[in-house]
Order: sequence, then C-alpha cells, then structure tokens
Amino acid sequence: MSCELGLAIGESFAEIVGFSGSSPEPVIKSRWYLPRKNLTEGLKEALRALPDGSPVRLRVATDSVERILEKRQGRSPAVLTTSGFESWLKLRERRELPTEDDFIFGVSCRMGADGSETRAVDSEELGFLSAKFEMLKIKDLAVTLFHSSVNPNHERALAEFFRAKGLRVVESHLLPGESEADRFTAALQCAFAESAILEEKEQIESAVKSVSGLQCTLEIWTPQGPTSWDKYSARYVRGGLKAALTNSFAGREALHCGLDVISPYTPISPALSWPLKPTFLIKHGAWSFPHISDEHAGYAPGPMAFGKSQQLAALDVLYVRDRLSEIAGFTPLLNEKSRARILETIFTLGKSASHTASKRPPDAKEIAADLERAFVERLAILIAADFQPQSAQQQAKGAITLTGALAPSLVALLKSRRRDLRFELAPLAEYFESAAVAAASAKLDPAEAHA
Amino acid sequence: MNTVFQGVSETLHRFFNAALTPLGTSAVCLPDGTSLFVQPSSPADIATLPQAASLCHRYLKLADGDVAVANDPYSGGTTLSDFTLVLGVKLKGGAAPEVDLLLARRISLAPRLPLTGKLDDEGVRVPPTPLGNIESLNRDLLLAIASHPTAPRGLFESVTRAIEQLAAAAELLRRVGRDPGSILSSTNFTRYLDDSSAAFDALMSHLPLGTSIATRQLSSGETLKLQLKITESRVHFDFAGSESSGKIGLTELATFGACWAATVAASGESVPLNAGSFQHLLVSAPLKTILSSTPPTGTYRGMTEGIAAVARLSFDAIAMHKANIRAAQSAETNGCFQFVFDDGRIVSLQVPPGAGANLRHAGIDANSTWVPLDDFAMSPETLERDFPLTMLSAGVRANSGGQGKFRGGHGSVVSFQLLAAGELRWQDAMLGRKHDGLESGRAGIPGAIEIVRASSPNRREEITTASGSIRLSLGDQVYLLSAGGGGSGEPKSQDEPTG
Repeated sequence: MSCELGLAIGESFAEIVGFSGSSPEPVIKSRWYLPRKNLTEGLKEALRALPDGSPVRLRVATDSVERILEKRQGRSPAVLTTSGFESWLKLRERRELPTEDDFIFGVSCRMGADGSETRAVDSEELGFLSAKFEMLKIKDLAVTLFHSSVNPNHERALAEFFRAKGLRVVESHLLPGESEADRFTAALQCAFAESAILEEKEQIESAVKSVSGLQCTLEIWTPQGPTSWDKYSARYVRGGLKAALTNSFAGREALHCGLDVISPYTPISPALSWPLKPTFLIKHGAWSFPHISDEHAGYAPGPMAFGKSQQLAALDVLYVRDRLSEIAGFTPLLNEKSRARILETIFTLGKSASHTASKRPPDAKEIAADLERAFVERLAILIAADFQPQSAQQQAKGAITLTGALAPSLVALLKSRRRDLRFELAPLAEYFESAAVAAASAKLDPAEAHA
Repeated sequence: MNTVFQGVSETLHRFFNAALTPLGTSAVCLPDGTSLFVQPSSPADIATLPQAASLCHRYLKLADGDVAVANDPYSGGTTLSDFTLVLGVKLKGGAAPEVDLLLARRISLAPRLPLTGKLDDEGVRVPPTPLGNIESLNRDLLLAIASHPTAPRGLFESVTRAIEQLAAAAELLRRVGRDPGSILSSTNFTRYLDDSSAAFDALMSHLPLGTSIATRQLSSGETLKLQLKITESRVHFDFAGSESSGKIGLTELATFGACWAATVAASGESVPLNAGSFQHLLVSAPLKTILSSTPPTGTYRGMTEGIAAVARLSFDAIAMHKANIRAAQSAETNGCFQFVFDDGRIVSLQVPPGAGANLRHAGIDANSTWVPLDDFAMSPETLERDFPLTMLSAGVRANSGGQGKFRGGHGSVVSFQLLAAGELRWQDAMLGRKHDGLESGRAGIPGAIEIVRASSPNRREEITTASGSIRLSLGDQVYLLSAGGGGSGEPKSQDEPTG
C-alpha cells in the first residue's frame, strides 16, 4: 500500500506526517529541532520508520525563502536593470535591498511602453559585465528591465547569455506583480535566496537516497499547489508552506498556531496585517508596562526557556504560566532551571518600564499573567477580525479549527476568552499533541476557566 | 491575580496601527474630536486631522456609515489639494444613533501650480460636506465638486477609492468591536490616553530644561521668532514677534503639529500621537502671523516650506540645550514639479532632497526630514505608458551630499525626454540654495532644473528660481535635481571633490 507523506520545513522545526491507505492514524509522525538535528538526519530517521517496500509520495512545503529574506541569509546577487535607474528601486522601496549597491548594473538596451525595441542589446556591454561578474565571483543574477512584462525579449536574451556563462538567472517578467517595482523586488529576492534553497533541496534528496529500497516520488508545494520536483527553486517554492497549510482548510475557519507564526487561514481576510509570532520579544518602550514587540528572537539560541538566551520572548511567558508541556519535539528543549531567571527578567522589565512611582509595582507573576493576556488578546483580535459567523445558526454549526504545535496550549486560553465561539483542534494537532490537549486544559486557572 | 489588564494600551495602540496602516494618512477619534490615534504623513496632519473629523461631525452629525469630505485649511484641512474624508463608526449594535468613533483619512492630490499665495487660486475650497451613507454615496455631489475647474485632477476616482478603503477599515473596527470582550471600549480608550500622557511624561526626561530663543528667515524674507520654554511637565512654544505674510500661511493646528514633531524628534523617543500626549505641548501662535494665518492667505507653501521651517526652528531651539542632536542643513521639503502637455494631461513629480548629516550619522539620501514622501513613488513604466515622454533616469543624484566626517544625504534626480510639447511648472523655494554643513562639514550641492533643448543639444540651461513655468518642445530633455544635505565634521582629505 502506498504512503502519502507531508514534510513542512519551518524556521527551526521540521515536521513530517505520513498516512497509508485510508487509515486515519499516521504511519509516521515526527517533529525535530533543526539546530540539533539537521534536515537530512531528521528526514532519514523518519523515512526509515516507514513500512518496508511501500511506494511513497513525499510532498515538501517550505517557508525558507521568507526566512532567508527576513534574516538576510542568502547570497547577494548581481542585478541588471535599465540604465539610469540603478538606484531607483532602493529609493522606491525605502529599505535595504538584498544585494549591495555596487552589484547593481545598468544596461543600455531599452523597450518602449508599447513593447517596441528602442535600443538593442549590446553584446560588447554584456561581455564587459560578464568579466566583471567573474571578478566579483557572482553566482546569481536578477534581470529587471522596464516594460519586460510587455516584451520580455531583452530579459530573455540577457538571461540566456549569462546562463551560458554558468550563472543562475531570475528574469523579472516571469514573476507576478502589479508594478515594475513588485516584479523587480521579487526577482531580486528570488536570486538572493536561490543558493540556500538549492542547498535545502539537496539535503532532502540526500536523505531520500540514503534510505535503501525506498521508492519515493518527490513533489514540492507552490502557491498554486503541489508540482514536480524540478521546480524546487526560490521562484516557485515561495509561499508554498502557507499554501499547503491553507489547502487543508479551504473554506473553513481555521487559525494556525505554529511555533514560528500564528495566522488565520481565511482566504479572504480584511485588511489587518498584524503578524504574531510566539518568539516575539518582550520589551519595555514608551508604555508603563512591558509589551510584546514586533522583533522576534527565533529559536537559535531560542527563547530564555531553552536555557541559553538572555532575551525574553512571548514563549517564555507561556512557559512560566505552564502552558507549554507535552509539545512533541519541543517540550524536551525546555530547561526547567531557566524558570527563575525568566521571572526575574520579567520583574526587572516591569520595574524599568513603570513610569509612575506611586503605583505599586506588580510582581513577576502578575506581570506574566498580564503579558499572557496581551498575547491572548492579540489572538482574540485576529479571530474577531477574520472569523465572522453570519448568524447564530451558522455559529452553532461551525467551529474555528486550530492547527499547529501551540494549538493545544492556546485552545484552552481562547476558549476562556471567547466563550461565544467554538474552538476545536485539527486532527493533525491531536496526533502530535494528544497529551498536550489534556495538559493544557488541566492547567488553566480555575478563575480563567470560569471567567 | 491582577484584575486590571495592564497591557491594554499597548495592545490598542498596535491594533490601531495595524488597522490604519493600509489607509496611509489617517486618524481614529472619539465623536467629540478627541484623537485616539493619528497616523500622519506630515507634521501638518498631526493636529489638523482630528480637527477636521471633529468639525465634520459637529456640523453634520454623522451616523454609522455616513461620510463627509472637507479640504478647507481653515476648517481642519491643510492645503486645497489634500482632501479629508470622515466616516462615522458605531462599534456595537443597538438603536441609539450615536457613533462611537470617527475614522478620518486624508488623500493628497497634485496641487495647482504656479501659486499666487491666494487661497482661491490654490483650488476649490470644500467646507465639511456630507456625501451620504457609504451604502448610498452621493456621487452627484462628489462629481460636482470634482468637475470644478480648479479641483485637482482625478479627485472623483481618488475619493471613491479612498472611501472604499475607509469602509473596509471601519468594518474591521466594527468586527473587533463586536467581540464581547473587545478592547475597543470607552474605559480602555481613557486608559490609553492616560498611558499616552504618561509616555510623553517619560519622554520629557530626555529633553533639556530651560529657555531658548531662536529665529529663522523664510525664503520669502519673513522672520519666524520662537521663545521655547521646557519645564518638567510641559513644553511651551511662543512665537510672539513672528511676522505675517500674504503668501505663506499655516494654521495654528499645523504649527502645533510641527512643534510636536520637532519635540519628539529631539527626544529620540517614540510616543503615541493622540490627545493624551498632545496635552504636554503649549503653542502660542499669534493670530495673523505666518503661524496662524487667516483667509485669504494661501496655505500650500505654508504647509510645505512653512511647516518644515517651523519644525526645524523648534528642533534647533531644543538643540541649543542639547548639542548632540544638532544636524547640518537640508532642503527640508520636496520640490513640486508639473509638466502640462498641450493636450491637457499633467504629470506631477516630486524630487526629494538629501537630509543633512548629524554628529553621529550620515544624512539619508533623497529623504526630506519633515515633509517626507510616502516613497519615491513614481513608476517609470506607468509614466511612459500614460504620457508622451521617455524616462531617462530616476534615482540618487550622485555626489550631491556635502562632504564631511559624516556625509550629507544625496539629493535625487528625475529626468525625461519629451515626445510632445508643453509647459513645465514648478514650486521649490529651495532651488539654487546651498545647505550648509555642521562643524566644518561641507555644504551640499544646490537643487536645480536643467533643460537640454533638442535645438541646441550641447547646451544645458540651468534654472534656480523658486517658482515659475517654461515652454518646452518635442525632444527637449528635463533634469529635475534636488539638493544634497550638508555634511557633518571635517572630511578626510581624500573625500574632497577633485573637480
């Protein structure tokens, strides 16, 4: 019997689940922490647990492009753009581009707005640029020319020339965008992430090859759905993880509570762009109380609860509030000794943020409770903004499905905050975190449970 | 267990920020005009947006979903090319007609150039005017306003699009407001304002106590005078002695915004913009001076050049007691350029100048300090598609920032070749003016318009007058060059330009 496997690659955790035939129970499930066990090793271990001889289809979804861009972990590509506009994109976007200013070169060929050629490609110019790229050891190139969406011939010609020279080339006319700025930015970002994405692809292939006797068909998730493995490049895989997750919940009201990010799945969302990450740092700023900032700690060295970091994250607050037990692949990373240090840091932050001397400074546990409430309040706002049952009848029928590693921990908190709505865990969350469901419910404060 | 949710103000603040970000220049106010959250594009918006919302509601008694429009600078507006839309929002159901919040949004359209200094020449003046309910908008009235000969081009389309976005934001507020335990409650609003006031109190500790006097001359010759007094709980800006002008006019609320922006910039802190934090500032702007002008004085130059001058003067007055925040000079505002083709089509372009360096950092390229552009928004593809021109360049004007230990920000350049004849019009008080460096830093290169005529391709005509117009023919090339900011500190010898 064939096996269907899904592999999701997040910032610091990878998750794999596999089903065989029509059985609702997974044949394998595994979540591992990538800084300790790399992608190849974790995948190898999971694949070895499969029943012998069954053909397997493994679909991979990754959000690596987004992460590489956020953390600037890619490799600066060269950019070819219309001459005279070398610094235009940087001024237009008002942020650092994922390349050096010195790597952006103008080319003299030009298309008119109607797609007619006003100046042809200059082969001598390309030869000069090629020599320059070789000197700068450039491996990736983004080609971003005006009016390429009307007539892409110049972009194609340039791409062909530099591919023949061994460069990986992204052409802007192949990327979606309402304006040239969107196309150019996307091309630049894809070129920046390409080398890391290809490395990730090789890691997966290496794991699959190392399991003897495994007949495995590989596919990759793109925003348009799963597609063939040869499309594993930054241009296609970007947005794939979100598409894969959303796919399971098309038309249903669902909230993903992952370790990396919490976000609603609703396809038509009102204009509330308010990301929430469990690793957001707790800071003090203008307010008389510490707050959840928009800056996030990531997982390496991770939140303070992992025992190494000095930076307090929202996850640390959930930890000292005993909300994080029994999360597969995650709870073992928590360091019990860090608990006192977290409370001490919370108290210090509370003291330094307090502007009014006359107020009794709250103690660490009170602050932690309020910070947790701020976290849940943000979840409640996301839910209020995105999930709107049209009538009481619909509301009675439907429920908001929670997915992701933190779902079991958060569902209990949400139930106490929005008693007018019904919440349920997605089956996958239950497979992973069945123990956590019970643990989270049991640990809810009696006062909150009856609030 | 705490019964009071301490973090509510921060959560509210971030929610308003997320909800209003798609709207650009916007504000949320209580029905009495008390501002809860203001998201300005320019210091001029800070106090005028809530005032516009308040006046619209006071005169028109907006119900849930009712929309009003206004642009009158003397009724909470800024310039006649900036239109404010106000929408009444009721958060929860119930029969009572009173709205809970006012949602205001300001859209900026191309101004009428050249300017005479008279308000009536700057465009059509719209007092608070009802546009009906969002479900049944009075499009005829809006069309009538938009078809006025002095109304900005694209007014009807821009307003209707803006109202759709405003309606989406209002729906978001309603959705969150319907949550049984919503943070959108009057108790939380009061707490948010109190906490904002406390946040400004904390900011005051970063300001130097004392009194200082500063003056500044505008490009048109008038003098602004400021006596600044900072105490432990309040900042008092007294502009007594400033001159009046028939050409440059600010309103008192716009002046307030400039003072507020300068105070916060000088503190280096960030605080919420609302009635809670506003109460720590006292601004005395004598009536009929530039800072509190009256009709028929035009406001375009006041809300651009004037607002930047007031903000810079206020900043410099604070810097007299806080030397480490001093900065080199910069052009402060974007020049405004329009090309009117003979068939009536108009291209509007802004060319941001470079910012002056300060004692610790280089100036930012193509970034006016006080009246920033949303972005370097021009799209070469769209311009070439919609108008008879070929774009030649757009980007940083190389080597225009003044040299120094910290370089002044470079200005920017936009250039194009005409494929049809027409007239170039401009308004840029900073053209041809040098912006000095700080502590031996060198001045930036002045802004200019350069023309290369098709009839004499080897000669560049340079224009440095503050405003005007010029006829141009097919094949002529236009270079719009903004000024570089001054540098800071003695440059290393190899940094000096050799030419």
